[in-house]
Amino acid sequence: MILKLEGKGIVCDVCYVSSDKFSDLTAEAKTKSLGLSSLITKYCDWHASVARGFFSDSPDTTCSFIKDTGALSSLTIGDSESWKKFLMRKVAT
Amino acid sequence: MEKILDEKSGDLDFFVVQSFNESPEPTESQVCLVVYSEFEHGASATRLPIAAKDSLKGLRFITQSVDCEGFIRRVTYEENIVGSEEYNFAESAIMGIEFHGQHFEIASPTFEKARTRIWLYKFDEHENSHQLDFVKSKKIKWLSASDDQSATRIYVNSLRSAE
Repeated sequence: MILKLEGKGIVCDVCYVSSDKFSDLTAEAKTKSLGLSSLITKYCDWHASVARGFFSDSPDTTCSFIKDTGALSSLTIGDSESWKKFLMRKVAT
Repeated sequence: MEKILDEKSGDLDFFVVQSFNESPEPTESQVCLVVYSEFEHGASATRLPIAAKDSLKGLRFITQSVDCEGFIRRVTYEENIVGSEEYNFAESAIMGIEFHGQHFEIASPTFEKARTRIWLYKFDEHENSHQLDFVKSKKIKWLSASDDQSATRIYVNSLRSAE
């Protein structure tokens, strides 16, 4: 089964890297015409994911469960009644 | 953990709130990068190993409040990057799915257009704390021309990245 989340959102990450390493990576990215993203991903000292795109308390998020048969169940995240009905049943129904 | 209905209130219990990891302050010799991508229309598809015969009763969203603490709060929440009016003050970030004790990380979203920004914080001896370096932040080339914009996220394959 596939959980699909859609809508407006934001991905937010925070990372720490040593100043020296940051200078080296910036220079390397420039030399190799790379974006800094790929290098920081590999070499940062610490990382925290603050948001991965979607929010459970946002009206901008829609949620669908797609079964292997292709059938679709769409739900609004904040709608408790539809969730209650959905979670109480079997996937196959 | 299998109970999904609060018998007293009748409320549905399908969220597990994950507390934000205790986050260290960056050291004086470290810089901090805050990277975020805002998109109007994005989609994330997470495959869950749930068979047709399985009940969905054990399914819960794992969420984390963006109203966290410490340095991370200062450079994200207090800067209105998250939890802002732009997102209807939404604060409960969906991080994963729990299903019968197993945790599954939400797949990174894909999108055609996004606005990506990077803020660089460096230690300032006069302030004795990390401060935004606006000029250098603007000079950071985060993605190359060939990079997929959706790949902007710093991907760490665990639900709790700092563990």
